[in-house]
Amino acid sequence: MNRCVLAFVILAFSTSAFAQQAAPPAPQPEPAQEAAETPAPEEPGEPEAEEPAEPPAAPAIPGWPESQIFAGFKPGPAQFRIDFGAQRLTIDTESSKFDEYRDVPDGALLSFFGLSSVADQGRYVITGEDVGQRDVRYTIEAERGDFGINVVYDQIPHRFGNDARTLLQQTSRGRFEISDTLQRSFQTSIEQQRAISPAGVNFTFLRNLVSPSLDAANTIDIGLERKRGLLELSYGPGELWDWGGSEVPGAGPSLGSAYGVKVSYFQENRVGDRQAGTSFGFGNVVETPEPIDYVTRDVGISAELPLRTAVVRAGVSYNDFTNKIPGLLFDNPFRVTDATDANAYQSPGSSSILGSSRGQVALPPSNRAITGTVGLLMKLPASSRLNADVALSQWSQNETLLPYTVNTAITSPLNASDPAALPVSSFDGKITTLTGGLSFASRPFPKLGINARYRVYDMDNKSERVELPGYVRFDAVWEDIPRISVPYEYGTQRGDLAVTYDFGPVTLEGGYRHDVTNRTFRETEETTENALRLAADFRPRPWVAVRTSYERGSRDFDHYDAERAEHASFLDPGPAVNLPLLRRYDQAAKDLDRISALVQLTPFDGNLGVTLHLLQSTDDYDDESDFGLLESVSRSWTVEADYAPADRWSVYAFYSNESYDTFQRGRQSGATPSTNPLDDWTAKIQDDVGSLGVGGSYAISERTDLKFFSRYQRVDGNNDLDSPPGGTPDVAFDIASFDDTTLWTSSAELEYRLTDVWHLSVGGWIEDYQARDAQTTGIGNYMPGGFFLAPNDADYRGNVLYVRASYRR
Amino acid sequence: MRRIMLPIYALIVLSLALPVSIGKPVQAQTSPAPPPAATSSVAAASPVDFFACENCHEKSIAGFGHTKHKSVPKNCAQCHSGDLTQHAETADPTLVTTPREMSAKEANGTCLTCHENGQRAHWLGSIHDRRNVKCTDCHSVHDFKSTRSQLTKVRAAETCFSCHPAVRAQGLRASHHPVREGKMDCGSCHNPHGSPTPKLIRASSVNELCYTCHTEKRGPFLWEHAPVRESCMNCHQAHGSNHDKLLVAKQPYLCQRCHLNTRHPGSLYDLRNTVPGPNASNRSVEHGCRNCHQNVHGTNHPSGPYLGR
Repeated sequence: MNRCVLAFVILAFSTSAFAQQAAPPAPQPEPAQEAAETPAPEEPGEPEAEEPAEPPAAPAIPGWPESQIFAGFKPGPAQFRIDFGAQRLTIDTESSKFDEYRDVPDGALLSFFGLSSVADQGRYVITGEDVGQRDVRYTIEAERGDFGINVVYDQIPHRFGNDARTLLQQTSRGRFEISDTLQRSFQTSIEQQRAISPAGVNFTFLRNLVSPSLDAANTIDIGLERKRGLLELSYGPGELWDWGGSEVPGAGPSLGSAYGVKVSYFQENRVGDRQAGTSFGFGNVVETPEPIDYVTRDVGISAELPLRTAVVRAGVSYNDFTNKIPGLLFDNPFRVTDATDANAYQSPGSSSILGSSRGQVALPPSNRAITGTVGLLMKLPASSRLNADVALSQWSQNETLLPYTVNTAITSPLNASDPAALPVSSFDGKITTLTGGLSFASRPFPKLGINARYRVYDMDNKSERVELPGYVRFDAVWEDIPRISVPYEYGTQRGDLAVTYDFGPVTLEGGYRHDVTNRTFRETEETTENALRLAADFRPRPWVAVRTSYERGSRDFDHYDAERAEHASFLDPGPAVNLPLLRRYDQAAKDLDRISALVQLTPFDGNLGVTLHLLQSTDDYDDESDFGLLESVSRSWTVEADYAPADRWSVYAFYSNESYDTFQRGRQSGATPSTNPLDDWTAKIQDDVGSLGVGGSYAISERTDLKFFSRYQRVDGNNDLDSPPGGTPDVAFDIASFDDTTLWTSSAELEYRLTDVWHLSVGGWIEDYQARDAQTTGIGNYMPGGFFLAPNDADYRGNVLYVRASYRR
Repeated sequence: MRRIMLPIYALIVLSLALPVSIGKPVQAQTSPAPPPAATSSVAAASPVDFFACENCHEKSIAGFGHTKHKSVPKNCAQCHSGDLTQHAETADPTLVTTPREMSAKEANGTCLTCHENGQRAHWLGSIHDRRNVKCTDCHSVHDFKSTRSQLTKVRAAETCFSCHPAVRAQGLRASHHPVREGKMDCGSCHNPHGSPTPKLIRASSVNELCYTCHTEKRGPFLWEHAPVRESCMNCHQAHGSNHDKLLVAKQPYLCQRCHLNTRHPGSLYDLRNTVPGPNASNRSVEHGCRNCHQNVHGTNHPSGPYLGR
C-alpha cells in the first residue's frame, strides 16, 4: 500500500513537471479517418473555399467478407439501394465450421436492400440483408410526430457439426430409439461373450460388435436456428433513445429528451439440436443429439421523464422461457430389457452387463422472470451528477419432475420409475435478485474530477430444499444415499473511488476498489478483494495520445471450509472425498495485476494512424493455494497502422500477439484422498496466438475501385504435463496438439461505377481453416467408453466468386 | 445476507428521499469552452443561418442534412462555439471551435447538453469518460458511415476495435459469438456510454446478461452448480476462445481446477488418454467430463446431484 502511494506521488510530481514544460493546450487530434480542414481563402465571402477533403474510405474491418461487400447504408431522403447478383461456392468438405453462423449460398443472391425517407414530418428506414438465406435480417425504423416504431427480424443459424453418425433414430421429439432387433442382438452377443469370459467383454469385442451397424447408419447434421423478432413502439415528443430538446425558455438548451415511453415485445424461437453427452455409466457414453425447441418471449415497458435538473427512468419486463421438450429419452444400444445390479453403472464390462434399456435426462425447465427497474439521474452544481438505480427481479420455475429413473427393474427400496415415488411432484424454484447502485461524479474544479460508486447485488435463492432418500446412478442402480437440494445464494458489494486531475495535457487518475462477496453453502462465507489503480492519459501533442493504467490488488477469504460445501447436499455426509488442500479459484486468495497501455499516433493531419496496444493480466493463487489453479497470465500486444494519404488509396495492417498461460496442480487419489506428494501432477497450459491482417483500397480510375484484405490467425496450444516418478500416475505425457487452429481469409473486389446509380462488382474470397486437437481430431463413432456422434466441424477450404449489381438512388 | 440488505434498504430510501431539483439550472456548466486561440472580440455563439455556413461547408452540411442535428435550435452554433457570424464574413478558422480542438470534457459537454439521458445517463464518471474518450471518437455528426447511431465506421465492432484490438483477435477464434458474422456486436452486451454494472455490462450482472440469449440456463434448478450460478465467466470467455463452447480451458483440466475428488475426477489424463493414445478415455476425448455430466449448468432431474441426468 505504501509503495503504491509513493509511486503515485512520484508519478504525479514527475508528470506535473513534464506538463509545465509541455506546449500549451493544443487542438486534440481527430481519428485518422477524418481529413483535416483546409485553409480558408484570402478573400472573405468567396464561395470557392475548398471543402474539407473527402475522408478516405474507412478500411473494411479485416476478416469480414460481409463488411467488405456491405459498404453501409446511410438514411437519406427518398433513398433506395439494392444489391443483387450471383455467387459460386466451392468447398472441399462438409465441415459445419465454414458456415457455423452464416449462410453462404451457391447461386443467386439478394444481399441487401435499403429504403429510406427523411422529411420534417417523419422518417423511415427499411433494410434487408441476405434475403432468402438462413441468416436473413430485416429492420424497419420509422418515426412520425411523437410516435416511433422499431422492428427487427433476425435469423441466426448455429451449426455444430455435419454428417454425425449414430445408431439412434428420432422417433418423436425427445425420443431416440434403436430398433429392438438390433438391441436384442447386441445384448445377446454380450451375454454369450460374458458366459465364455467376462474379461472378453472389452472394447475390442464391443467395437467389432457395433461397427458394421455404425458404418451402415444414417448421418445427420447437428445444428439449430434462432428466429428472433423485436417490436418496439415509442411515444414521446422526442426520440426516446436519442434526442429530444425542446428549449426551456431562459434556461438555455434543454437537458435531454422530453418524456418518452417505450413498449417492446421480443420473441425468439430456437429449434434444432446439439450434442449431448448422455451416458449409461463409466464405460457406456451414448452421445445423442439433444433436441431443442425453445420459445422465449419478453414484454417490457419503460419510460423516461426528464425534469429540470433530473431524469427519472423506470421499466418493467416479463420474460417467459418455454421448453417444449422436458426430457430426452434415449435407448441403450446394449440392452433391450431393463435390469440392475450393484455394478450396472460400469456395464458393459467384466463386472456387469446389466443396466437399463433406456436413459432419460432432464432438459432445461421452462422458467419465467419478471424485472422492475427504477433509476434517477440528478444534475447537481459543479458539474456533478448523482445516479441511483434499483432493480428487482424474480425468476421462477415449477416444472413437473421426471421420475428417478426409466429403468423399470429398480423396484427396491422404492419403485424408482414411478413418479409417485418422489417426495414432491414438482420443484418450486424461486430466485430473487436485488440490485442497488449509487454513483456520484463531480468536477468541483475544472481540473479535478471525483467519482465514487457503491453497488450491491443480492441473489436470494428462495427455493424449498427437497430431500430425496436416494437417487439412481445412470439409470442403472439405486444409490441408497439420502440427498438434499442446495439453494446456493450469494451477494456482492462493491465500492469504487477514483480521483482524476488534469495537468494540462496529462490527466492522472488514482482509484481504489473494494469488493465483498458473501456466499452460502460454499467453501467460503466471505471473500474480500481490494485493488489500487493508477491511470494516466497523455496528450503531449495533438497527434499523440497515450493511455496507460495499472491495477494491483488481492483477494482473501475469511475461512475456507471444504467439507461444508461438499456436505451441503448430503443428509448423512460421509468422509470428504475432495482434496482438502484444494482451493477453488473462484474463491481462493490471490494477487492480481492488470496493466494496459495504448498509444495512438495520427501525424500528417490524420492521414497516418499508428496504434500500439499492450495488455497483461495476472492472477497469482500460489501463495495460498496448494492445488487447483495456481496462476493465470494473459498477455497481448498489437501493432496497427492505417495510411490514407489521398482519396485514391488507403492501406492498413495489424499484428496481434497473445499468450495465455495457466498452471494448475492436482493429485491422483484412490478410494480416499491421497496424502502422497508423489501422486501429484501438474498441467502447464499455454495458448500462443498470432493474428495478422492487411488490406486496403485503391481507386484505379475515376469509376473503378479495388478493395482487398487478407487475415491470418494461428493458435498453438500446448499442455505440458508432469508427475514425479514413484507415485501414481508416475509419468505424464505432454499434449502438443491442444486446440491448435489456423484461419486464413483473403478477399478482393473490383467495383465499377457504371453510372451514378448503377455499380457493378466482381470479387471473391477464400477461407481456409485447420484444426488439430489430440482430444477431438480423428475421433471415431465408437471409442473406448462409448458412442460418439463425431460430426464434421473441422478443416475446410472454401472459395467464393461473385458478381454483384448495385442500384443506388 | 442481512449485511447486504441493510445498505440496499438505505439506498432505496435515499434515492426516494432526495429532491428531484436541487439548486439552479445547470446548463451553464455544460456549455462548450470558448476557442483557445480566440480573439478579444469572441462572443458567445449565437444562431447562424445554415446558408451562411453552407457557402464553404456544403459537404459537411450535406453529410448531416438528413439527421435530426439539422433541426437543432441554434443550427451550427449549437455545437460550434465562437463568433460564427464573423467567421462567415472573414473565413478566419480561429474564430470557431470544432470538437477536435476541444478537450474531451469540453467536446463531450456539447453533446451531453442534449444527449445526457437514456443510454448515456451513466456517462459522467464512466470509464470512457475518465479516459478522455470523445463522443467524436466513435460518432460523427457530419460524416457517419453506419446505418444506425451515426458511427464513424460501418459496423459498431470496428469502432470498438480501434482501442480494443485484443478483443478483435479473440473474436477470430474457433469458438466465438457471431460478432464477425454481423449477428452481434459489442453493444449487444456492453453499453459504451456507461453502466452501473462493472465492465459496462447491460444488465445487473454477467449472468443476467447471458440469460437474455441463453435463457435455458436461468433455472432455478433442483440441483445447482454453484460457480455457474455465480458467474458464467468462471468457466467461459465471452470474447472468444479456441476451446469448445467458449471455455477458458479444455476439459477435464478446467473441471479439475475445482474437482480433485477421489478416483476419476482427480486422475491425470494425458496424451495416452487422447484419441490416438493407447488408453483413449471417455473422460478426455470429445467433451471430456461433459460426456457424462452433461447438465453442467444445473438440472431438474431427481437423480441429477452429479449433473449427469
